[in-house]
Amino acid sequence: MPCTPSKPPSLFALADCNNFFASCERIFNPKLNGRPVIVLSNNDGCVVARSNEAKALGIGMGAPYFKCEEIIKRHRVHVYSANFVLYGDISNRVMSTLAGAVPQMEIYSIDEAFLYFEGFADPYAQALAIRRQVKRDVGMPVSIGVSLTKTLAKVANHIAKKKTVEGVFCMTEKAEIDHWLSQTPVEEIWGIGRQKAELLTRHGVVNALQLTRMPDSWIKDKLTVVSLKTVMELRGIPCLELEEVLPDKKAITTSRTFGQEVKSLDGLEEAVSAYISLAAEKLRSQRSICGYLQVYVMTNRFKQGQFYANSAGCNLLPPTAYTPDLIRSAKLLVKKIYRAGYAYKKAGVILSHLKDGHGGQGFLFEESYPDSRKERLMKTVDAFNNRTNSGKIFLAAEGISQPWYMNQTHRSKRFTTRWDEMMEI
Amino acid sequence: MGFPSAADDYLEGQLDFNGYLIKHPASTFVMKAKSNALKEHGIWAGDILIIDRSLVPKEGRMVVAVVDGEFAIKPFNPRVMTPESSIEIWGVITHAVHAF
Repeated sequence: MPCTPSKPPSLFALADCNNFFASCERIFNPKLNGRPVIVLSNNDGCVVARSNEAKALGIGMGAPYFKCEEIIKRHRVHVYSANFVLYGDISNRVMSTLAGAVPQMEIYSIDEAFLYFEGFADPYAQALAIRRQVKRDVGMPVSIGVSLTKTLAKVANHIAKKKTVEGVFCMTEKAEIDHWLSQTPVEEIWGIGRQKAELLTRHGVVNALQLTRMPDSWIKDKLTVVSLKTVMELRGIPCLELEEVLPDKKAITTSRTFGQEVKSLDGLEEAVSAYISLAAEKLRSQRSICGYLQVYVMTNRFKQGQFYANSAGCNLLPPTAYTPDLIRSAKLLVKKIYRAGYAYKKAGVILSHLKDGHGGQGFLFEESYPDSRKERLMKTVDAFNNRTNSGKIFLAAEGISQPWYMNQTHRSKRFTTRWDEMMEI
Repeated sequence: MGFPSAADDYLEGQLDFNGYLIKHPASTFVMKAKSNALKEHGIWAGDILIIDRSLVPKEGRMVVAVVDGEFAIKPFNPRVMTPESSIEIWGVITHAVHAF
C-alpha cells in the first residue's frame, strides 16, 4: 500500500435537493416520474416548486396559479397544494442521512446543507456516494457541489445541477475554479444581491472571476466589508465557518410561575396560549419569524409528591409569526406532555430558529407570497395593544383563525406522520 | 424530598417498539396492506408494513416494488427484478404489524 503523502485538504460541500417539494411528491407517487409537477403556495396562490418537466413548459417560479391554468390543462401538469407536514418530515430524513455521512454539517434551509468534507481521500467519490445514499434511503435526488469554501461550494453546486448528469461536481484546482468563475455572472454569486450585482455591472465587473481580481480596497469602498469576505471565499480562502448551532440569543422565551397551581389540561393550554401571544408579539416587533416551537411544563420541585417536568417541540413549516398558528401548534404540544394528576407550577414557551421575516434566504413562501392578510391582522392587533398598554385584543381559543384556514384543495396525504393517511398498497 | 429510591438505579425504560421495529429511522416508512393476496407470505389486509429503503433486497424477501408507476408487494426475485428491468425496488419490508 502506498503511504499517503499528506493529509487531504478540508473542503466544503453544498448538498441541495433537486426541486425539493416536487421531488417529495414523487416519493409516494412514482407515476409522477418524468411528468411535469408543480407545487402551490399557501392558499394555492402561486407556483413555488416545479419539476424539470414543468420548468421546460415555461411555468415560472412564483407565477400565479390562475395564470398557468391553461398550460396545466394542455400538458396535464400534476398540481399539488403545499404539504408542509410531509416536506418537513422528508427534510428531516435527508438531513439526518447527510449528518451520518460527514463529520460536521450546517443545515442551511429546508432543502440545503453545507457539509464539511474533511479527511476524504477522494472527495468526488465521497459526494457521489452521499448522493446515492440519500436517493436510495429517502428517495430524494440531491446535487452536491464541492470546493475550497462555502461560497465556491455554492458555485460548484450550480454547475452540478446544470452541467452534469451525475449531479455531483468537485472543483479544487485553481485553473478549473477560475474557468468556472469566469462563467458565473456576478448576480449568481451567493451573498451578492441584485443591487450589488447592478453596481458591479455598471463598473464592468460582470463575472465572478473579474470580481476576484478587483483590489480589496475597491471592494470595501464600492460594496461592503461583508462583500470582501465573499470575494475572499471566491479566491479560495475560507472566511465563513459552518454554523452548526444557532446562537442562543436567536430565541425568544416566555415563562411564568403560576400564582395558583394548575391541574387541568384546559388551564395549562390557556396559560401557554397567553405566553405564546406575548412571545409572538416580541417576535413581530423584531420583524422575525420562527421555525421551531418548544413548550415545557413542570410541577413544584419543592413540594411533597411526585415531581414531573417535560417538554416537547415541533418544527413550524412554514416559519411564522402568526399567533393563531403558533397557538394551534403549542396546544398540540401541551396535549402531548400533559399528564393528569399533577399540580403544575410553571410553564414556558421558546420560539427559536428565528429568521428575518422580510426577504433574506429562507422560505420561498415568505418571499414570493407573503401572507399579507395574516401580517396585516397581526399589525393591527399589535398596534392596538401597544396603544392600550396591555394585551386587550386576544384570541378567543381558535375561533378567529378559522376564516384564514389554509385553502389546500390539491394536498397529498401526510403519508409519514398520520396513521389515517398511510399509503395503502 | 426523602431518601432517593434504590430502585431508581435500576430504571430501564419500557420495551420500545420503535427501536425494535425501526433500525434506520431516516429510511424507514410505513404503508398499509390493502388485500389478503399475499397471506401466504404473512401479509394480511390491514397490516401495517414497515419498509426500510436502506436495505439491499435478498431473494425471497418481501419488497415494495414499483411496476408501471404503481406500488406492489412482491417477493424479491433477483433474476426478474434487475436494475435494467422496468421494475423498481422502492424498499424492503422488514415487518408486518398484524392485529388479531
